[in-house]
Order: sequence, then C-alpha cells, then structure tokens
Amino acid sequence: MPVVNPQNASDGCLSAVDGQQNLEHLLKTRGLLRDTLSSLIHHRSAKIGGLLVGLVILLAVFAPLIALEGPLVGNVVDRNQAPSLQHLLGTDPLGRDVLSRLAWGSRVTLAAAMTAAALAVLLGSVAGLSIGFRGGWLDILTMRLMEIVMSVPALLLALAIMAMRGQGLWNGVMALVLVGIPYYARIARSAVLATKNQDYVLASRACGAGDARILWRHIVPNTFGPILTYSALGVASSITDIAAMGFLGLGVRPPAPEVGAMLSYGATWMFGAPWIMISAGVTILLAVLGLNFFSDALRDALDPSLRCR
Amino acid sequence: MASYLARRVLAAVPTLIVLSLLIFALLRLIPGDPALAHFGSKYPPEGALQLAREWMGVGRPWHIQYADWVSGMLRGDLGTSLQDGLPIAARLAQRWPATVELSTITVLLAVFVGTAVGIVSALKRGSAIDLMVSGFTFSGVAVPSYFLGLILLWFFGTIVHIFPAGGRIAADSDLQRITNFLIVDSVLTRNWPALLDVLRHLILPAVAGWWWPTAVTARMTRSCLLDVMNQDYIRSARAKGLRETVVVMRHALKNAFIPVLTVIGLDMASVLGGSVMVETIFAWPGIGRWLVEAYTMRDYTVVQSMTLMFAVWLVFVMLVVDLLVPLIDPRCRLD
Repeated sequence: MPVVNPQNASDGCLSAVDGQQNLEHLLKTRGLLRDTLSSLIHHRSAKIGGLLVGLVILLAVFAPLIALEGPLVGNVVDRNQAPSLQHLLGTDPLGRDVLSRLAWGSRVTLAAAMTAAALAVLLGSVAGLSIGFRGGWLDILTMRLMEIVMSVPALLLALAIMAMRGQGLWNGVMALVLVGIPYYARIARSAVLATKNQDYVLASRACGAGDARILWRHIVPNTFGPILTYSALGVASSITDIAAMGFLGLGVRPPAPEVGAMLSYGATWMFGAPWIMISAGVTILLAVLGLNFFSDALRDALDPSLRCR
Repeated sequence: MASYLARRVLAAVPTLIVLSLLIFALLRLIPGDPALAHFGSKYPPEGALQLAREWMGVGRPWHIQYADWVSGMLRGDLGTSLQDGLPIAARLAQRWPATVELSTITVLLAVFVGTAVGIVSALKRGSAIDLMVSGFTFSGVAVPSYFLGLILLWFFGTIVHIFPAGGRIAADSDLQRITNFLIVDSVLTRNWPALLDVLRHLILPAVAGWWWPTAVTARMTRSCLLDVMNQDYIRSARAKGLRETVVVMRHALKNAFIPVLTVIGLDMASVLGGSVMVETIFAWPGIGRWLVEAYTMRDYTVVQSMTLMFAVWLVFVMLVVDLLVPLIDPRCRLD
C-alpha cells in the first residue's frame, strides 16, 4: 500500500480576504469537529473529491434501487448491447445489465476496502501510539522491522498471504490489514514523538497527570489529523488493491459482482464489449481520484496552521 | 569513500536476513496446509497426503525448514516448484531477465520524463504548463497501472495498430538468446530488426507501469528545484552575471537531483508491485506473471522464493542509489 501522495498543498491557502473571514470564523466556532467540517465545506478539493467519491458511494448505497432485478439476472437475448437508455452502461455477454452489476460490485469493493483500511488504521495507530509513547529499544526495534516490511511492495506481501490462506474476499481484507499496519503505525508514532515533549504535555505532567490522561487528552487528539488524512489515501489504495485481487481472480467467486472481477471479465471481452471494462475501471478511478482530493482537503482542514496563514 | 561504500554494503546484510525471516514467517504463521491445497478440491488418496507433506518438507521443525531454504538460496538452489516439480532456478533464468528488463526500462523512463517534466514546471511556475503537470501528477496516483494497461491494450488493439498486444518478442523471431535480456542479446548479435521488435513489445507494458513513478519523480523534482532556486548560491550565480541556463543546469539541477535520486527506490518498488498486474495483462513472461500462477495454485515455494527475490532486487537497487549519491553530492563523502 505505497500511498505516497505526490500532490502537496496547493489550493489550501486562501487569499487574504478569505483568510480574514476564515480567521473570524475560526474564532467564532469551537471544537475540532465543527471547525473541521465548516472549513471542509468551503474547500475546493473537498467539493471535487466529495462529488467524485459521493457518486460511487451513492451507486453502492442505492444498488437495490438501481438494480431492481439484482446483479445476476440477465436475458441472453439482450447480450453485448452498447450503452442505451434502457441499459445505461450496456449489457455483458450474458445479457446482464452492467450498471446493475457495477452498483452491487462497488458495494462489495467499497465495503471490503473500507473495512481493510479501518482495521489497519485502528491497529496501526494503537501500535504506533503505544510504542512511540513508551520509546526505548522496543520502539527502535519495532520501527526498524516495520521499515523493512515496508520496503517490499504491500500488494506483493498481501498476495503472498492470500496464496497461503486461499482465495476469498475476507482473506484479501485480512492480508491488506496485516500489510497496512506498519504505514499507520509510523504516522501515529511520528505524531506522538512530535507532541510527547511539548511544553503543554510537560506542564500537564508537572501537574501530576498520569500516562493515561496525557495520552488521551493531549497526544491522541494530535494524531487525529495525520491519521485521518492518511486514512483517506489508505481507503483509496485499498480499493485499488482489492480490485487488483479481484482482477487476478483471488477475490470473490463468480458470478458474484465485484469491480475488480468485472474489470477482468470486461478485459476478456475488451473488443466485443469494451463498456464493461471501461465502466468498471472508471468507477475505481473516480473513487481513488476523489479520495485523493478529499485527503488533500482534510489535511488542510485539520491543520489550522495551514489554513489561515 | 571506501568506508562509506563498505558500510552501505554491510548494512544491506541484516536487512536481507530480516526480510527472509519475515517472508518465511509470514507464510508459516498463517494457517493452511500446502500439501492439502496441492490436491485442490479432490480428497487425497490414502497415504498420499502424508507423502506430499514429506516431499514438500512441511512437517519438519520451522528452524530446519528456514535453514534449508536460506542455505539453498545461497547455493543457488531456490527449491522445487510444487506445481510441476521442476527446480525454480531453471525457470528463473528465463523469467528473471524479463522482469528486470521491463522494470528497469520503466523506472529509467519514469526518471527521465519525471525530472524533465518537473524541471519545466518548476521553471515555469504558475504557468499553464505547470498546471498541466500538476493535473498529470495528481491523476498519476489515481489511475491504477492495470487499468491504464487495459486501456492501452484496447486503444492499440482496436484503433491504432502500432504496438503488439503482448509478449516480449515476435514468435518467429530469429534472435539468438545469450543472456535472455533481449535488448542486450539483440545488441550483442547486432540483430537490429529484433531490437526494434523487442522495443515495440516493451513500450506498452512500460508505459502502463510508468505513470505513478513518473508522477512521484516529477513532483519531487519540482519541489526540490523550487527549494534550490531560493538558495543564496543561486543568487550569487545570477549576480556574477551567469546566463539563466547555466545557473539552472550547473548550479541548481545538480543539487536538486540528490533528493530525486532517492525516489528511484520508491519508483522501483511501485513498478515491481505493479508487475504482477502488468505482466498478467501483457502476457509478459516474467516473475510477476509466474507469481500470479503460483498464487492461484498455492505454490508456496515459488511465492516464498520469488517474493524474496523481489526484495533482494529492491535492496540492490536502493544500494546502487545510495552509492550514486556521493558521486553527485560531495558532502556525503565526508562522514
């Protein structure tokens, strides 16, 4: 899961007038959640990203309404039809409606990717928090180990794990969680190290606060920003990886729909019915692109120092 | 300089040991019986399961299995494929050059195009070109290599027939194989038509895996060059009255390129990770496609040895990059 985002903050900094308004706004509102939400709403990347991801999420959520007959029903008489009003994205060689399959398929892919990312974020941050806070030789040893794990492409490790566990969506999710943990652990750890020796933490300790209180009140809130920003990218790369597994035939078993499996099915019918492959691929692309935009916006929104300079 | 060299080479040894332990453990800690998997959905006949276990050596203690595996690797014996019972090393000789050739060409392409594009967008900061480059680098992370590969295959298969759809070389080619690096072979035997054919086969799979590393390299080059252009020595160079091209080429680029070099390792990792997909799509007879076969057949000896081979290749590339840095940056030679 090498989620390195080559895009740096470009449109996060607002013009002077906007900045002034934003500053007033910031002074009025209280609390991280409301503050973040309100600045997200006004962020251009957040709008674009939200729109793109929203499209895919809507498709997945309303799958039962979009595909009234379900993803498996097809009429062979209608096979290989190009997109039309009746079948917006055309039909496949078995006469099944591509949009219906895509809607159900994105449900599976999105759910799997989000589960994988959420579990990896949770386990990774807990690991990063605890080893970063404790420090010492355990910290050095663990991080060195994790760095070495990260030197091997995550998809390769995940696929190797799957080869041992056997095919299946759940095995794929587990493999992605396992290989994703080091990435989040590293981020959480560096956030901990950055705050651990800040004056306000030392002050709190001087007042007699215990480890638990310091972690919970001072350190954990400071890790939210980087972790959330990174998890948006994590979901994006999980989508790519889950779809890759589906593409290689290691994910769900046919005829169950899944976007990656649809892509590989569409690839075999590339020249007769290219719309299958293109719609599946574009769905992945929209989701991943949208999440990248969204992650950019999140980083700006969660870091007040970036927002109103 | 010599001590720097020695230290870097020695540092790679523990990394390799840990990697081999990790890959070994990863495949052992996960429940699953390769012997049972070998029989697929069929129920194995009486005694056959025990026999298969013995032959695969999965019943023995872990430390002995590990020692066997590693000492075998060091002697050049990579084990036996569980699918066909053939030694892995024999097939590796043909598959390894295919993957190394493709991945090296992809990374070189990415580094050249990425730095060129990054330099242009840094020098023309804020212009339309810069904006286009930003769009290019941003979409680079969103387009998975396998989707790009499929689109390329579709486009060049239906609309413009310039490139062949898959494989490394035309089936009726008269190229004499020496090293199995087909570019090297065709140059060695001065077989120019074959060289052209090999390059035409290389282009589509290389471009499929090329976007992400190019985007990362371009991004890195742009930000590093912008950083360097604000340095005092650039102002001094301009104050001396040097022409802008000299300032950029001689003073800025050399310094901006040092951080970019370190991205090469990251590029190689992404290309290798994508090779599983790209080689499958373009019927490229390399390690990636072999691994996919091994995944579906649950051939754990191949998975284990080939994942380690990828790791070794990555460590090697990073080592080469580390050794290149002091050639450009004299500050590294001092310590």
